[in-house]
Amino acid sequence: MIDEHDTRLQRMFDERLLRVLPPPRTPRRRSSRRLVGATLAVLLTGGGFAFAADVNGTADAAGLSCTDVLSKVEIWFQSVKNGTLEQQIQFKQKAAELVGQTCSPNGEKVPFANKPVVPASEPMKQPSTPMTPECLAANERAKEMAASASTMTRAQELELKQRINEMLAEPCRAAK
Amino acid sequence: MREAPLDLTHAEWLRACEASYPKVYRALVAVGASPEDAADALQDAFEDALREHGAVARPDGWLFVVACRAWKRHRWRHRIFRPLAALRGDAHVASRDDEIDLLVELAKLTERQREVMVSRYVLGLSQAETAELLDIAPGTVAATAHQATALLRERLLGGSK
Repeated sequence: MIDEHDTRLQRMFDERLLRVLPPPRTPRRRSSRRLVGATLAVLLTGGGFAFAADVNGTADAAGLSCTDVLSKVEIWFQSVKNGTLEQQIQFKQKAAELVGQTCSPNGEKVPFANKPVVPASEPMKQPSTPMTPECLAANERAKEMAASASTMTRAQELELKQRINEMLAEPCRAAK
Repeated sequence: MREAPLDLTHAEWLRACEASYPKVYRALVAVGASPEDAADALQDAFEDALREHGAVARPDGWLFVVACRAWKRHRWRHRIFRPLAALRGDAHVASRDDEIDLLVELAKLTERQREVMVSRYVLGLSQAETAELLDIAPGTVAATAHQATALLRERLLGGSK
């Protein structure tokens, strides 16, 4: 291998680079732009993690840890808007209604039933009051009058309804 | 002929690095770094030198290669904030006396040609040492040096041999 070396080029290099004066060695400049960029990056990253943790925490509190990200964010937003001071059960209920699902104990998605079934509860029944003979007779008469209403106009029907109501008002007052 | 690696103590190693600071700084400027970038890159290289020192034949060559890598790593940032042409102009504006300038002509070479020429003519490394430091084949160094020398001769000396 021939180690080619041009003396005239070497002289040019020496002369030209002698004019380049090295500065005294000092610690590296820390650019303010770099500092601001780094601070912003740290803040954004930290904020992102904190937000994700808060969203997940809220979803967990609502018993909806298995739901998708958008629903979790929606739950978080609702909790922030409402102040998060409700009872935990109420909040869970609301959140489950919001996303239309809930989570089973083993973390699987389960569709949310709008009205929870309460065992041993009976449908509300109004206590019935016995009708008086006058009221029964008035009811019979009202039925006969109503049967003849099939050929009536709308105005006549309304008039008939009013008359029936007036007729039933007095004898059936106790039954109401 | 390759030199045997020097077995320097840590203090000797640091002294050798300090002594080669002006030469390596000039080499970085010749490769195309601005004065600020050259100083920063050398500072990075010195931090590396403080942490470790291998058995190297030429501390100045080692420092040059490490500083070059540091400069290349940080160059993209400067490309965002300043056009490269302006960067080069900044680097040489203080010393451009006439149209024909060594640094301007060096900037027209490829990056590898610049590195090889600077290693040879500024740091004074042999072709074998340059090949080892830049991690390229000695034949490639010879060919690159030959092409770059011919180009510089043509542009700076008017093609005379």
